[in-house]
Amino acid sequence: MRDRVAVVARATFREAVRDRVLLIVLAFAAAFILGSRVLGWLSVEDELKMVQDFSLKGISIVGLLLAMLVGAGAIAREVERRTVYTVLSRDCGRGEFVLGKFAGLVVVLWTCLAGMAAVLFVWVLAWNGVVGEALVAAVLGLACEAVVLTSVALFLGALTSPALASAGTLVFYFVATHTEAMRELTEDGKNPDFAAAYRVLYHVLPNFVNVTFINATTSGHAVDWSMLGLGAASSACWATVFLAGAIVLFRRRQF
Amino acid sequence: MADAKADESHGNVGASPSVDSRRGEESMAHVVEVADLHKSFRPHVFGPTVQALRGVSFEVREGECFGYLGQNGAGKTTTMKVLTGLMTPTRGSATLLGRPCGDETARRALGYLPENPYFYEHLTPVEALQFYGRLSGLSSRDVAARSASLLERVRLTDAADRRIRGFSKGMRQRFGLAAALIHEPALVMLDEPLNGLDPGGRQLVKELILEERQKGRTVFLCSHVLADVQELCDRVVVLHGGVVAREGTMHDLLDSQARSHELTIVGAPAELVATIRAAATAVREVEGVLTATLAGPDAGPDFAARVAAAGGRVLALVPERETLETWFVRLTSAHPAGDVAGSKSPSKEPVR
Repeated sequence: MRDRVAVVARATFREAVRDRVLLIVLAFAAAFILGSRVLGWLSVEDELKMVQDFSLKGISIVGLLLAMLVGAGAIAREVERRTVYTVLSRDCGRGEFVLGKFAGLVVVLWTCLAGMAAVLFVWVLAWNGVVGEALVAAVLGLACEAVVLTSVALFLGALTSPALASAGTLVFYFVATHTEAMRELTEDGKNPDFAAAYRVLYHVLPNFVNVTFINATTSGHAVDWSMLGLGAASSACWATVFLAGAIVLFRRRQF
Repeated sequence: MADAKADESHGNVGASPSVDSRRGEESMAHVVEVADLHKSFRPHVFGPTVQALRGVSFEVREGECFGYLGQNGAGKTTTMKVLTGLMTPTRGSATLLGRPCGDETARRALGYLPENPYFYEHLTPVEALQFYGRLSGLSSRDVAARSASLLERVRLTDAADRRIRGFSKGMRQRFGLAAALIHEPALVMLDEPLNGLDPGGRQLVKELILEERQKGRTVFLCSHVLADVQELCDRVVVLHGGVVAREGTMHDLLDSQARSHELTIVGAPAELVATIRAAATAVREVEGVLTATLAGPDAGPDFAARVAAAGGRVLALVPERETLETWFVRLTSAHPAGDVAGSKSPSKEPVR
């Protein structure tokens, strides 16, 4: 089983590389990171911190875009081009196919992330900054985020059209990055009923707060690695749920 | 069993029928068994339900080249999708090598070429064969060893390092055949393998199919090119309106007697020529050479004998036998799809 998952994953990665997706995204991200310097000059705060903050948020958005562009259409493309016929008529289970696609896409996203992080690190060092643990933790957090977003995109892609799947992934990202802010907003005492309801909802909604360390890079606080570990575990749970959903949907599909 | 293990260790995952028999599966007389297969689906969410298959039953015997025929929309591709596990039947059963068709182990012994196949465009044939071979459980080494000879067989050696994206339809079709055969499957299922091929390509694919059959593989062929089906297949099933309309060997189904003769003569007496002209369904005469089409199995040889006896010369006597194509057209036009589809126990008698 592992072999077949790896074979599908390798083909998915190779396709993304040969379609120059990585190149375009990396070029875009590099331009984004280097351009952040301009914002640094305009900022009244510490220039370097501004660069880091802006670049990391940029990387996060590029990861989202990549999950939307590549992940949401990954299964639909295979069905539309009918390449899935020659794969699933072999000794390859549908679950293995979905897992292979997921693994390949995660490697694509992580490769992009590593490339973008490398550009950012070099950029920070070039301006006499320090690549501290907060910066490393922030990148690792983004890697966790990428895993969840890929699984969401794949799940929605197995359920509906690529366009709707992309939109759904965007909504998920928005919710996951604002769950914490929404709680703070509802706890202002103006609407106690809504606050009570949201307190329940809070435990159900996706939340990227445990994997978001972008603020730590600028605040100077020490990194809570156990929190990152918790965030990674939480991301793995979310990804498992969405992947299981994608497999169930894909198994029911008639071609 | 030891042999089977040895074969598996060499990556022969498909296992030839002879290997299967060594495994002690003599009881498995049929490679494919389909019983009372029904499939209905909605092509569009709010559209009407289509009953593609309405109780299809047939078997494919080990080592035969089996033709699966039918007009467009008869349910051929649906049957193949059920057999390959791409669709699940609404009712009935279908087995491959004694296992349910959705079973992954059963699919290991299957090589499938879909109609108008699409492959990963970014890969070269060598890379794509690695992909398909590895998916079928072969080691990289085994795939590499088989790829070179397989690409040579389908005449793609020169294009081995080119991406499939730039391939013509014929090249894709030939590559598809190589991909279907990479794991040396016991059953090769081909959906319109001669589509889009030039005469040379068609000849090549036909030779490949015959070679596979000679190796003892079972070939399940679905094609609209009935002349090729007649040439390649031992037995056919005709699907019409979602049910089996006819089933049998070529010998059973087609009239072996000549339906007419084309007689070409010269120098026959005028009276005899006049008699021939009167009896013929079509006549043409060029510079004293008369060519007449004479209906029935006996008229042609009779007149040929009379011409020879009268001192004339018989230049040619060509019998015209029924082809699978004329038989198929006669069958499908004589029985509208609804009529045959209503029949629960399709006749296996040949149409005469």
